[in-house]
Parts: sequence; C-alpha cells; structure tokens
Amino acid sequence: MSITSQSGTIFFNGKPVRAQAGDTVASALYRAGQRIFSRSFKYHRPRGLLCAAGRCPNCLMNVAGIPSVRVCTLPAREGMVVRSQNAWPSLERDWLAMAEAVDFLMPVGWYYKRFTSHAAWRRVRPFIRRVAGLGDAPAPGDGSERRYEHAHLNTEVAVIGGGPAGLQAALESAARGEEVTLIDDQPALGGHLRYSRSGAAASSPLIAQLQAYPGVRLLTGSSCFGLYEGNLLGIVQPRPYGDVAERLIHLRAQRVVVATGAYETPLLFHNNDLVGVMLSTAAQRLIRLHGIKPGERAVVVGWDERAAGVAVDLVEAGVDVVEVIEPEALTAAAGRGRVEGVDARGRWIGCDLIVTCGQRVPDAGLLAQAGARMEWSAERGAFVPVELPPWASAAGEALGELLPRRQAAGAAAAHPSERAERAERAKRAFVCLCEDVSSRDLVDAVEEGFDSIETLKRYTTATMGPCQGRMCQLNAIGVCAGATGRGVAETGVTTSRPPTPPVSLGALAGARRHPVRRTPMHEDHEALGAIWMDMGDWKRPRYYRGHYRESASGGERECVESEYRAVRERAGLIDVSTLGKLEVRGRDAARLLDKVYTHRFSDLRPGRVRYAVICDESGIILDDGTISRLAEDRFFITTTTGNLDFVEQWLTWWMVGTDWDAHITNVTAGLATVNLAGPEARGILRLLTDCLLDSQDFPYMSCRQADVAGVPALLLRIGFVGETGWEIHFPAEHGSDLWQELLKVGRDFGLRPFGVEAQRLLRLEKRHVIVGVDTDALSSPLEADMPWVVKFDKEDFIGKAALSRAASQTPRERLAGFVVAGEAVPAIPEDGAAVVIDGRPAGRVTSARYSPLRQSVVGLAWAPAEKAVEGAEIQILVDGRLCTARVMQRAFYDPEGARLRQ
Amino acid sequence: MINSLKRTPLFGAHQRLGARLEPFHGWAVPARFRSPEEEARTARESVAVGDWSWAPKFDLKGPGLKTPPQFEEQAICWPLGVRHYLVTCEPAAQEPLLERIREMEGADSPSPIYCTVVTSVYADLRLVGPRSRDVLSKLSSLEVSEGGLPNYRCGQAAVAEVQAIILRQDLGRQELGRQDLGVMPAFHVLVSRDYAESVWRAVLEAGEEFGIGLFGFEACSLLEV
Repeated sequence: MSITSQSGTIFFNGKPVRAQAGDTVASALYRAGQRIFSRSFKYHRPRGLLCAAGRCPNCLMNVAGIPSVRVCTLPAREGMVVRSQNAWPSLERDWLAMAEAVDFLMPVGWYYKRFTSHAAWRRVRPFIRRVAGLGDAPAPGDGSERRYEHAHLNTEVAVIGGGPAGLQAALESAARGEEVTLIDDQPALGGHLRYSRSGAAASSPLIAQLQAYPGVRLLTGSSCFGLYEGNLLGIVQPRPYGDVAERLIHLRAQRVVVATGAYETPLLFHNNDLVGVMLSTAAQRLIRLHGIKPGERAVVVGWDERAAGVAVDLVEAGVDVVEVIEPEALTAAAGRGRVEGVDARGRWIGCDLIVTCGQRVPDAGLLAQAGARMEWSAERGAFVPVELPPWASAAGEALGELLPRRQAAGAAAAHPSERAERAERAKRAFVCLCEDVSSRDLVDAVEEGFDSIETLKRYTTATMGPCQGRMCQLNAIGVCAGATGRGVAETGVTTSRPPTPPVSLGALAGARRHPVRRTPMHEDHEALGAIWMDMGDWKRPRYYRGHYRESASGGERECVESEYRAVRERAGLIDVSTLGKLEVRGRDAARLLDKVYTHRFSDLRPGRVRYAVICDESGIILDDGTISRLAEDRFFITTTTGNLDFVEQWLTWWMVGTDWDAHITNVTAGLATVNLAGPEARGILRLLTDCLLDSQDFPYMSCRQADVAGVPALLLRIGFVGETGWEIHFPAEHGSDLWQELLKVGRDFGLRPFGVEAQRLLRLEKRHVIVGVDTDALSSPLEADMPWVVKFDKEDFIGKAALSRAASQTPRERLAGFVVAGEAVPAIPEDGAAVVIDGRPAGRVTSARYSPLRQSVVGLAWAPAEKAVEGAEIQILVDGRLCTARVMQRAFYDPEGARLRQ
Repeated sequence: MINSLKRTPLFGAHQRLGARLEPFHGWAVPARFRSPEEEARTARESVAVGDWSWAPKFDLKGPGLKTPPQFEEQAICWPLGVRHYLVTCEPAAQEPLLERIREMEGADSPSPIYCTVVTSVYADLRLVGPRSRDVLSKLSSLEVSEGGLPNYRCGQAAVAEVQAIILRQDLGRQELGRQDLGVMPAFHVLVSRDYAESVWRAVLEAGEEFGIGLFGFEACSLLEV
C-alpha cells in the first residue's frame, strides 16, 4: 500500500524509517537524517541527493531485492525493504573507497591499457566482477521474483510530459474531441509548477479541466523510454496494481506531442559530487513537495534569477543562506565526505549545503530518437531540437524556446558549457557521475586521440551510465570542445538512443508465460502416473510409473521395458495427438502433393495410405509423415509433431502464383489420435467397431472411416512400432472417453499405455527414422537409406534436380544400423557419439537404445558409405572408450515386415 | 459404447473451479460457477470470461467464395483470408446450416466450396464486459478499441503468446438497476484447442486487475436479454 494519506514505516538497511504521507523513499530517508544515498561506481565516493527527479545516479538502491532503483521518485510503501548497494561493509564506511587512493592505477581507459594479456585479465577478473557494477542482479529462488506484464494501447494523441506545456497541449487536443493519453514520469501532474512559487495553484485548474474530458487517459509515474518508428512509444509503469512490479506499455499514437520540458545539469567544479551539493530544483522539491529543510547553512551558486528565487525558498524553509555566488567565483567544494564549505576564489565560506543553479537543458532525447536534429543555440546555451518529423511536435521547454536567453542573464554571464570549455583538468571535477569520469579524464582521452565526441564517449564511458547523459552530456561536450579547441557547436552531441531512462530486463521480457499444449487425454495420463517430457510446447508422457507407483524399484528402465514388452507381446496404446494433421482438399490436391512430396500421390487410391517425405530444393529431408486419400479430392496428411506449422506454410508457399484448386486446413487440435499396436490390437479393436479388421479387408497401409465405441473415427493401418496396429484419429472432445474405453476393453488382453521412450525403442528396433533426430540439415533420403520414397519418374517435384544429381554419384556417408557386439555390460552411446574409423572420427550416432530383443545395444549412425554395408565393423566412442559395432542394414526386428502385415 | 457428453478443452479446469456442468446441445458445459445474477453483474460492471468452445464453427474455403456466403440460418461469416471464412452460429442452427453448406460444397461445381467443421479445432474464450478490452490489451497487440475493431469484425494476432482469432460480437444494451450501461463490448478469443488451458490462465491472470469473473450459459441468457 502506497503511503499517500498517512504515515508508515519503511526499512532501510534493516532499520525502520518513518515515512509521511506523499513521501518518496528518498524524502523519507532525508527527513530521517540520511545524507549518503549511494557510493560512486569506480571510486566509491559517497554521494547524496542531487536531482531528486529520477535522473541522476545518486539515489540508486536495492528495493525488495531489485537493484538500482531510483528511490527519489519511488513512492514509499508500508513495509518496503530498501538496501544500499555498491558499498562494503556499509554505506557510511565503505572499504572499497580505498580505490580512490590508488586512482593513479586507473587512468582513463585503464581496462584497455592494463589488461592487454588474457592471463592478466583472467587473474583480476573475479575480483573486478565482485567489486564493480551497481548492485547484484536478483538470482532465481532468492525470493525477489517479481511479476511483470505488458499492455498494448492506442490513442489519437500522445502527450509526453505533464508540465504546463504538456497540460495545455493535452487540453487543446481533448477540446477538439481527440482521444488523448498524457504520460508523465512524476507521481503527479504539473511539472515544475508543483514545486515552484505559486505553481501548484496555477496547475490545479488545468489538471481538473483535463480530467473532466472523457477521452483523456492519464499515465502518471510512467516513463516514456523510447519513441520508435510508426509512433510507437515504450512506456514503463512501475507498480501498476497488486504485486505486479512493472508494466511495459506499447502505446501507438496517431500523433505525438513531446512536452518533456527541461532539466537542470550540475556545475563543474572541484569536488562537485560531495554529499550536500544539490541542484536548485532538488532543494525546491524537498521544500515544497515534502516540507523538508534541505540543510542548515547554504551557499547558492547561480547567475540568473533562479539563484535569487531558490535563495528565498531556502530562507523561507529556515535555511541560513550564507551567500549567493556566481559560478565563476566557485573554485571548489571542500569537506571530508560531505560539504563543509566552499572555496570562493580563495575565500572560505563554511556551509553544509551547496545549491547549484545549473544550465537548463531541453529534455529532447525522445525528439532526437524520432529524427529531430540537435542544433547548438549559443543564445540559450544548449542544444535544441530542430527539423522535427511531421508526425511529432513539441511544446514548451523541450524545444528550448522558453529557456533564458543570454541577454536576460547578462552579457558577461557564461553558460556552463562554456565554463566547461575552460574547466581545469581536475581529477575530482566529475563530468559523468554515473561512471566517475572527471574533466581530467576527458582531457587525457582527447590528448590520446579520442577527440570526436562519439569516440570519446565510448572510450571514457562518459554519458553511458544510468543517467544516459542527462546529467553529463552538456559538460562532456564542453570539456571536449575546450580540449580540442573546436567549440561546442562543432563538437556536436552524442546520439540519443532508447531506452532513456534505463528499463529493467524484467519489464522488457514481460509476463513469465510459456504456453503449454495439452492433448485431450492429458488428465488421463496424469492419473496413470505419467512422467512428462517437453516436446516444443507439448507435454507428452515419457513413460508411466503407474504400475510401479508403489515400488521403489520402478526406475525409468523398468517402466519402459515393461511398456515395450506389452507392445511386443500383447498390446500397447500411445497418445499421438501431437502429430500434425492437415486436410488438403480440392481438384488439384493430388497435384500439390506430387509437387511438394518426393513420393507420388496422384495414383494413390482412396482408402490407401503412403509414407511421405518432404525435401527442399537441395534434396534435404525437411519432414515426413503419412498421406491418406479419403476421396478423389480429399487427403489427410500427418506431419511430425514439431513441423506442423512449417509443413502448412510450405504447402501454401508452393501454391502461390498458381490457380490450383487446393485448400489446406489444419485440423490438428480438433482430432485426438492414438496408436493401438501389438499382437492383440485387432482383438481389442474388434470389440469396439463394426469395421472389418482382417488383413484382406483392411490391409497394411490402408485407411477406413468407421465408428469406434460409437465415436466417428479415421483408422490408418500403419505401424511405426513394427506391430500390427491402427492409428485412430477421432474428435478431440471424445479424447478422454475413447482412451479410457480402449484401456478398459483392452485390460483382458493385457493392454498397457506406453510413452515416448518405449515408442522410440520400438521404432529403433524396426529401424524407422525420426526426422530431425536421425537426419540433420545435410541428410537426403538417398543417404538416409530411403531411396524408395523418391519417384524420379514424376514430372517434377521439389528437390528433384538435386536428388537426381546425388543419385548419379556415390554418397559420402549413409545412415547405418548397428549392433554393439560382444559387450558384457553394454554402454549406450549418447546421441552424437563419434563413429571412429581408423582412429579418426568419421561419423556420429543419432539414436541408440538397449534392445531387449537382441539383448544388445542397437542404433543408427551416420558412417562413411563404404562402411555402411551389412556386416562391416565400425567403432563407437562410448564413455571415453571404443566399442566395436557391426553394421546391420536390415531392421533389427521383423525385417520382412510380417508382423505389420499380419 | 460411449454415450457421455462431449468435453471442451477446459472441462478439467471447470471441474477444479467447481463449475456446475450441465448438458447443452450434447456438450458438458458450465451452467454456472456461482449465481448467474452475480456472474452477470461482474460482466456488466467489469469483465467476465466464459468457455464457448462448444459453439459451432465451420471453416469455408474455395473459389466459390468470391463474395461472403449468404445464409438464411442465423450465422455470422468472419473473413479470415482471400476466399476463406470462419462461420459461427448458435448450436440450434448447426444442422440446417451444415446442410446448406453441403449443398454448396463439392468439386463438381465450377466454383466449389470446401467446408471443414472446426468446432473442436478451436477453443473459444468469450470475454464480456466494459473492461474486456483492457484484458485483451494486456495479452495482445491487436487494436481492440471501438474504432480499431468495430462490432462484427475480426482480427488475427497472438493472445498470450498463442496465435488467435479475435471476433468482436457485442452483447446488447445493458442496464444495472436503473442505470443504462450502454452496449456491452464482447469478444470471442479463438485459439487452438490444445492451448486452451494456457490462454485461459493468462486471461484470468490479466483480468485479476479488474476483478475478472467467470460466467456460464445461464448468466449469458441474462446478459443477452
């Protein structure tokens, strides 16, 4: 619960801290006396609140296990657990600050200079990885898992920025009846009016007026991090509701108005990062938004009317404003870890707070991303966007038009960028607070030859930290301009790229959602004790522990062997609903199949089934399955489980540009499919159907449409596992009922359900190939020992030319069956195990299993063609030793196919 | 012989949620999850989801479909592609409609039409209520705003990472007490049957923010009045 209406408690480094209504985490900590908020990236210098607007890196903390959260804009929530990061052992006493004492070892580009040998890098890498970086990424299982989600919205007008310009733009659009979405990264609308003198009173009527329009959508506390092609905006909304950590909104707008305003940049002086140095807007936020006195004795540094304004604000808040000085007069800040005074041209002024009125810079990163050119305005002392794309517009300070002009500030006053040009080479005048890059580092880098702002950025990493250049870009350009003597305009800006601000990987990834496909019999498998395996999105039973559920000895091997024996000796039932199923209809359906498959289908008689292989233009096997002809103009195709979408697209693709009357419908999900196989399969099925099942009525490789247990079904007499069997396709809504009925009727015959592992063993004994397992991206049907599937006498088919060429040559390698010979305790080669010929790897094993039938290991392997002949000996590397295997080119089980045809 | 009712892909999920399953045109369909009045109220005020997988669906393709097919029966034709339509209807209209389609079908015709019954190919999750768009926008990039997907239009896009067909078929003008709530937006989300439970869970998770409810066919009759 957000602490908006009453006080509550948050926990900082284990200690309770009271938070008042409307507090951010940072304001609650500041009120409680906390001044150090973080440690710097490289030197571990203490850092305090600087911008209080969610832009600088100074308040990055770990919140509820998530590192690098900007706590200055994070509303405090009851019980929130906040920890400091990048400090050891504590934020106040950080031993890693010793790094500063050896800074001479870490000059600019020190990674490139020091670690020129891999060995040196390897030695220090563990240490550097431990101490470098900002916070620790959450680890799985550490209790910091968070929910993320995405949303897709559309709007006519998107206005980015809820300050006065943004409010006005949104109001004008809403008044025209347009649908408006207003996005602002602060918890409330109003922009700088919220904390400037009499600002709140000025913004309230605008906000109320806007809220009255029905077509207005307000997204406060939401950061727009990217403006992409087609007016797509990326927006991150923290804690949208419940326990959802972040929501990433994809907002598509017909028109975009960028009214992101301007932000204040730090001044460049020695020790400009001390705790107690604060931007003027940060001091005003603390005073006006949270009622906090920022310090006791303050020095205000500024050259325009803002300095006077903030001085008055500080006095009214009870701060003793010791002096207002011009930036030119400020030589250095001094103090041990925090501000104790300033050196003003040799004059010491004691204070605990330095409030700087830095240059206001248009927040034009999104416009630059959208294609606007950034042009230097000497008059305004900033780069301003020009040449906006036609679909985007900008309003207010984002355009730079409202920024104070030089005349207003006096001709003598210099803009900070110009001061940066003249900046001393100070090791402690930090340009980039995120990466601890000082003005001296930048000048050194320029002298080393990195004199283009883009290469300087990459070499020094300035502008590449969490602030993404918003705090440091102008000063970095100024220092570069001074060191090269080119001037700021010629130096130019670095490229603005999304995301600005940074986005968490969780938000980009979105919800942890992995779609799962379930067959209609999923819950029946569950009840039978299925051990699941993933096949793509599908869940399939690998094997069933049902019969061994009570027994400790029932391991995978026992279960699989038991299922195997049931199929070979009695009958087995497997759920193969995952097979892809396509219906192809039309007068030219056979023509299409003749074109795409290597076999011929135009001569397939209705009621017959044929094995089918698809090759690509190079003759490489892409998929296999069966094709059944149900009528002259109607075919039923099965594909492998994983290739359904591909086959559907491939068939569709080859029809493009033809006027063929052929139409493909994917019916996979609508049909449950089981394979009933084994010597008793016919006896079981006979009890459930009137269809004649004897071989003369229903021969091998034929199909019939008949009722099974009253359910309309398509029966294919095929045999992947090498036994008499039927593949039964029937409406998915009856999947569970028919599965149960088959098992019930089959009980007296010893019918058992079997899983994928037993199926793989059974098919391997039959030497049936699985495409994608026994074949790869180089396998043709000729090499895979299936020349009979290629009909060269067809007019044309995909891959014909390549296969014709291949047929006239001797193949380099072939798929060979093998039996491991003479092993007392046979080891099973893993998939991919090397086939060794004359001491050299010459092939690989694709599948191997222990065959109870042969009482030996059998398998398939790619071997040199001269070795892939009956009786040849090959060697296979198993567990580091060579086993001898004998090549067998016939099936290991029932080579004549008598069982299939029985 | 099997005489039991047909099961939708969410049959198990409904049982776990304690739905009262009743026969409905040969299917075991949730009649209610709690009181129909409460279910209808949640739909009117926010959003509710129901399992409409039993609703008849036909896939029509062929050169005979140069223009959308016209049926006397109460059926809606949703264009899915060139000469490709999905036809939906009420269960009572299924048989006469199928008969009519069979008359149009056949390779003998110079411009044949081919029909495949795809009722079981697709799970149909019906989202009803003023926040139904908000739920969909969290799961899909398809624009489902009033102008983006008008009533009786359909779109194809991923919903919860699963390819889906989204049909917009609003319910009539709704009232709550004396308050006129206007026409209630409603969508059918059609996904491959085997993904049904995944998408169902994703819809419930996305709808949690809006207090999503479940509804059966009894509540639907209240909403369609």
